[in-house]
Amino acid sequence: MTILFDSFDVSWWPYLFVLLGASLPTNMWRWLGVGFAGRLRDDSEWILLARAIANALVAGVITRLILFPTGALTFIPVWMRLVAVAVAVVFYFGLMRNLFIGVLLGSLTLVGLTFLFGVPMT
Amino acid sequence: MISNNMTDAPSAAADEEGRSGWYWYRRGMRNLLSTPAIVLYFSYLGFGSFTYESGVDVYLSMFMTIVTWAIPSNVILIGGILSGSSLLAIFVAVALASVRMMPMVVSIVPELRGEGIATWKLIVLAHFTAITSWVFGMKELPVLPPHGRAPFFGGFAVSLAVLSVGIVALGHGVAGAVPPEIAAALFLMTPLYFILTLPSAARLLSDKLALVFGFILGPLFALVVPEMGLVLTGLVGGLGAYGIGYYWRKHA
Repeated sequence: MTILFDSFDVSWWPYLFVLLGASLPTNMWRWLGVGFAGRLRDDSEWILLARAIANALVAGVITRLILFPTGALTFIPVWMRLVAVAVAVVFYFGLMRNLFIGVLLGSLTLVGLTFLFGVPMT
Repeated sequence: MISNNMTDAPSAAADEEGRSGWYWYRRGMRNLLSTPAIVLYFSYLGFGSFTYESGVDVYLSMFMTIVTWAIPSNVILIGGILSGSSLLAIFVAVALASVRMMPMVVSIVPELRGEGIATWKLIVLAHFTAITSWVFGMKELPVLPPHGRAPFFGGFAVSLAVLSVGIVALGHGVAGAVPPEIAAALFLMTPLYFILTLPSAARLLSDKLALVFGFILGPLFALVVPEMGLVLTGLVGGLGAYGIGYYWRKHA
């Protein structure tokens, strides 16, 4: 039998669904991480390997958020998203190491481009 | 962001362990208005309006924020609910997208541990470890005295989550009022922020290479093997970067 979000018409079911469908599959990795870390020495090669894997995964998540996004970003053409990212990167690493302005500038570039080219947002 | 307070530090050092823990907790909390925190609030503002557009009520949105504490997991959950997927299918998709949590926790625990921290505390802190707090922790923790690290991280990560729950409610409430162009820009803030900060948290050669490999392999594997893309990005990119870093350490 397949269990769905609307399988049970009781007020607590959506909350249990969230616990089983999102909280558990996310947290089980965190618990495993605590378990593994407890067995390793702090300067262990395994820790260095875990750091490398974590960095690669996080970087992978970031580019996916830009290239294959969800929500409102999907309506905006890829090149506009990339230009916005490029503006932030060039500003931050080339001109001025101010994170807040860098992020704000990238976001404003995106808003500017969508209005300038009249991107349909539906 | 916030410099060491000259008048607080000596008196706190003279206090017993319990008091100084609270001192470090407050020191962590002071970073709630730092740039990474503010950028995360903007992302959660965007997430809140996304839950509204998806027809998820405000209480459930707040609940999923705190019990999962990972935006990608919750976005997958909502996507799954909207497409009528089964609980099992959503569980598998979220599990695959969350593998990153394990190496993130494994690598931050040595930075937190100090002298013999209780396992339950590590489990609580691990729950509040997500990309923002991980990058922040890997960057800030190494320079702190060992006994202050766990409370400092807790002060930042736990209060960040609690505050974000409120931000989600706010985003849910103002959803209709924000034009979609602005909502899109809010969603872009998180990846923008990480692209700018990840390089400074990557100390070792293997960390830096892993970032480069991850940036390239992430979208590539997403196209070639959509289901397993993220896991493979971590394994291939991470192993490759670690291997080159290992060779460099031994032979250079």
